[in-house]
Amino acid sequence: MAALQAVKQFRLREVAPRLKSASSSEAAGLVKIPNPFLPHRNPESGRWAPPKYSLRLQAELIKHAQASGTLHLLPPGPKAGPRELERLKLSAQAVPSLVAGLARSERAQDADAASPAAQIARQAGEGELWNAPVEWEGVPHETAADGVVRLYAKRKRMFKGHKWERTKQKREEERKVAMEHMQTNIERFRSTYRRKLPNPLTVPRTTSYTKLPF
Amino acid sequence: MAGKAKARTMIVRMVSTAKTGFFYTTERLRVGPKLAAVKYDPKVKARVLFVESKKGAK
Repeated sequence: MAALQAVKQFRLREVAPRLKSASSSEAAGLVKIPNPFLPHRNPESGRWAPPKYSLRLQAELIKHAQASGTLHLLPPGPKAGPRELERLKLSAQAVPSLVAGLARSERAQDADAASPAAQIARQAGEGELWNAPVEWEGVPHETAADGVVRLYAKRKRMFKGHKWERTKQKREEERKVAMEHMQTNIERFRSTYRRKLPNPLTVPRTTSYTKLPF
Repeated sequence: MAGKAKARTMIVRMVSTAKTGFFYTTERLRVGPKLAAVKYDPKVKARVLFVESKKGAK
């Protein structure tokens, strides 16, 4: 599935190379990987390097992970800190039918309908590097606002809508009222306007300002 | 030098009485009756009465 594939690609790009080198050197414990969702400070130059993934990409990855049930594979970040990730995991667990449906579409040929998490665990058992547990370096800045998309969290007012959107209802009502009596207006107009037009056959009345009446 | 003489015709705007803001632009004699006609208004998708506006061409 596309969502699982997106998360897997992310893991392959960030986690797999480090794990490969770590397994070859036989390091003990969890591998430490710098969090690609956070900025990092270079100790020599003192400068901050921006995060590898933009906020938009981070939000998209979180959506894919939520759809495929792979939230535990993503690092915490400004979009979803440790608290937010836990909340998303709990909400994902509350929808077992969705997860089961995803598993069914994924492994149609498999006899037992396994969840994506179980499938991932199976793949881990098969020796996959991308879904192995990892320790992320860097502490994300905790925000008070809830949710992945927090467009109005720091703003006092929401967008109140365009002027034409706000006045649309009123304009429609005015038009409706005007159209109610349109037929009678047209009939009245048709019966009277010919009188107002001058007869093209009549001689026009000339007003002379030079000829005196006496 | 004599000023420019006034033209025989003038450009007028016929506004829809259905209050849609849609209008037609035509010409009429400067000395003549105000224009009014039943014409098609696409905003309401029907024929409605159009009346000459006092504001003029612009």
